[in-house]
Amino acid sequence: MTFLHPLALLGLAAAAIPALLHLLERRTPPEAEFPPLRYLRDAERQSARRLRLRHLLLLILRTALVAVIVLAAARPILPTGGGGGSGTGSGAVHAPTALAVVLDNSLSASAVVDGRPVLDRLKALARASLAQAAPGD
Amino acid sequence: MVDSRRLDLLDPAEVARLGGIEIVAQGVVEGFLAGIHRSPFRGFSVEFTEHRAYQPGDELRYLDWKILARADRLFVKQFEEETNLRAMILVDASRSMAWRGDPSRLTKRGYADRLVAALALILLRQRDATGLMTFDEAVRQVIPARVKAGQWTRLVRGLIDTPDGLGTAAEAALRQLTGLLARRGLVVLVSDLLLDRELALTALRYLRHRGHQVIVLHVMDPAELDLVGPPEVRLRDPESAASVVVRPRELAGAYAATVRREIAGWRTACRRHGVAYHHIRTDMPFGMALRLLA
Repeated sequence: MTFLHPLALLGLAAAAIPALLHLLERRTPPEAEFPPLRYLRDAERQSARRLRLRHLLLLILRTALVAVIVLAAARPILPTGGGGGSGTGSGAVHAPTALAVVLDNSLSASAVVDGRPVLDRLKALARASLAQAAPGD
Repeated sequence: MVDSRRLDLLDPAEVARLGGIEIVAQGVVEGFLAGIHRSPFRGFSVEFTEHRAYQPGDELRYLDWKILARADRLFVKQFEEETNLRAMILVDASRSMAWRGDPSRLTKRGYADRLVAALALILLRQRDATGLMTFDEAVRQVIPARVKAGQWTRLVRGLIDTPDGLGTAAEAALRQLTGLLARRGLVVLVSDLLLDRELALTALRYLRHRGHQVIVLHVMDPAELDLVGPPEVRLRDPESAASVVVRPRELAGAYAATVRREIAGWRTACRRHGVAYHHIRTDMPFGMALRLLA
């Protein structure tokens, strides 16, 4: 897998933000008196596992969300059938492109310049650009 | 004396603003007794139990005339309690009782004091000997059950003179009570029941075995039934100084379920031991709470 904008991957560092927030947010909460603390303890004991799992899942989900956004911004491409375009080479990777060739077949294009009609040159140019197209285009 | 408005049916905190415990309790009792035709408390004391052969000196009014007419023999009817009932009211004065979830309400203790004063007044008016015991981790005030004049004032003074204590140890008070109530009587325990359930139940069961009628009034602030609060809060137990940090929103469901299970647990345990149990919220009009006892 390759990325069109590898520099954007630096943004992956942002994925650490939820975890950091989780660690830094150990601020001291307000205090209050609450006599039936024993009931609260019971309730906590019963739901401790469920809550811990939920917190963990939430953390994972938040981290994953940031990571996915960053990865998407880096525009990944899967080199499917990478050998297809022989002349293009793996270096000329580009995003899948819709390519339409419009050839000027008018009278002016049939003018002969340097012993060849202009149309021939245009055709050659069109072929060249078609040759660059990857199978995904 | 407060006018004829039904103080027993008003918001307890509003009623409490009218004056001291005496004024409030008297007003509540006036309203309460006006609203019922016959005192609901009369009657436990005079239940017929058995016949006994007449002996010279027995009061003639207890003679069973029907048996005399039929069998020509002299029998007297005996009653459960030949004099009136003897009642002891136990009030939990622990630190947890001095709490309220909202400044617009009475503390649990404030509510209990006024309710107990009203109950004592009703009992004393029908010539039932009434006494008081307050306790926290130890017994604080003991006023033996009497009917003599000034007893009610003494009881109210006993309530006022009991400061908010620390821990809760009902079983000590309940045990001491068994010594004070020689004859079969009525025991009313008013507490938030934040105590060791097994120990308390053992003591209650013991009282029950001694033949006393036992009523448990479980006083709770409405804020103790459901967990609400800021996103994150450190909640501290006023009695043990232990604390936990919780997010009320996350735990609200489990907490509400735990409290309801606890209440149901007390209710079934009490029923199993023949103890009457009533759950009372501090926003309940005093008259409604008294009616539960009727």
